[in-house]
Amino acid sequence: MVQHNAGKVALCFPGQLSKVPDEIGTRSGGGYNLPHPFFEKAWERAGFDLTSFFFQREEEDQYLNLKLQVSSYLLSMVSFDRYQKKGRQWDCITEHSMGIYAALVAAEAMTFEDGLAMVKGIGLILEEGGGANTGGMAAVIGLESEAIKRICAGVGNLSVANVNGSRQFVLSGGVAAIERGLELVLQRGAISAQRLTFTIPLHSPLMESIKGEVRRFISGFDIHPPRTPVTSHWSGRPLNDPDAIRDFLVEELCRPVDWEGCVQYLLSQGVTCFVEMGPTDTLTKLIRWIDRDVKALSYGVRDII
Amino acid sequence: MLGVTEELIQDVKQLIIERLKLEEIAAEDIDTDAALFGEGLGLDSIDALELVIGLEKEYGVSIPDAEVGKKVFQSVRTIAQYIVDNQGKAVAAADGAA
Repeated sequence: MVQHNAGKVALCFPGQLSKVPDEIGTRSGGGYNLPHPFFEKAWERAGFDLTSFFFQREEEDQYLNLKLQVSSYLLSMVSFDRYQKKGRQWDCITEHSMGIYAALVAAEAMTFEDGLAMVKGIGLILEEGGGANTGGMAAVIGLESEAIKRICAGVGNLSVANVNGSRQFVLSGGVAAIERGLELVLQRGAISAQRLTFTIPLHSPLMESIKGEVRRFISGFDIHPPRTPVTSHWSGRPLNDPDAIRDFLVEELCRPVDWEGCVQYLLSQGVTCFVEMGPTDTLTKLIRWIDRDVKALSYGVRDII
Repeated sequence: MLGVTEELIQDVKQLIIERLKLEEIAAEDIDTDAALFGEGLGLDSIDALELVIGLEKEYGVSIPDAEVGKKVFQSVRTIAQYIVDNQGKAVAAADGAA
């Protein structure tokens, strides 16, 4: 086949789903409806059934964000597996927020099984040790950076968790701070301001207290140098070294995601096509805002669910 | 509704398609009165901002906040009506400023 696209292709792994996709949870499960080998592994190794959105252990099943996080990982991995099996090509990998685990597996820095164990383990630390219900997050669309920063500074205990574009941000902070932040951004003319499902202030300095536990947890995993370049979502730099990857996995929980900077970096490196790995097109739409001319598409997986 | 022409309806549909890069959808596929968000076309808040910018650029009308946005972005017809109701005002304000 003639290669028409001379530029580089970047695969993009999105962060945690903001809600359960409509197709999930409508069927009876318990490990009986597993249309992909990854779903079988999730049931065997993590006790999670994606089609019924259900953890075997009751104490795990109560955690909505843990379930969303494991679902996101599985759906991104299935999307990537299909993309790969179609014989399609890519040059580099990038990720947003909690998409890092699937991104590292796709780059062959970790096995699928280890990625699954890591996603679940860190998800549990966030739910149990992360001071769940101590904070929250909210997506704010429409205001510019200056206005957002001023509101955060004024409220206190509130910070920018994602720079997703010049007028697309996610805020993170204490429960009261998030509520106040939502009021203020709407008063200032935000087009949309929505609470996310998170009950923790992810990607904020308030997460510092769990760093030690996360570091101990991930020290047990084998991590190898990625075989495809992985671009980090805050520095815009490649993550090459296993130790640097470990540091990143700990630090990223307390630092903001700079998706806009990440996309700009990849554009400067000659990327002309972005392909989102997962069931939604959130990153695709954000890329559309950052550069209207670059090709961006979502390699969906809705049909498999 | 007074003032909304079929031509404007078509133009709004075209604006939505171009602004959101809906390559697989034609203007005739969009129902003038169907919901744009959630159900229907399934647009989200990131799309809403694109439409806000599109309306400012093409028609010089602005959406000041989320509350107005919610009302305006109900359907193609409500967007067209908002343009008819507000376009003159924007021009008048600009003339006044000049």
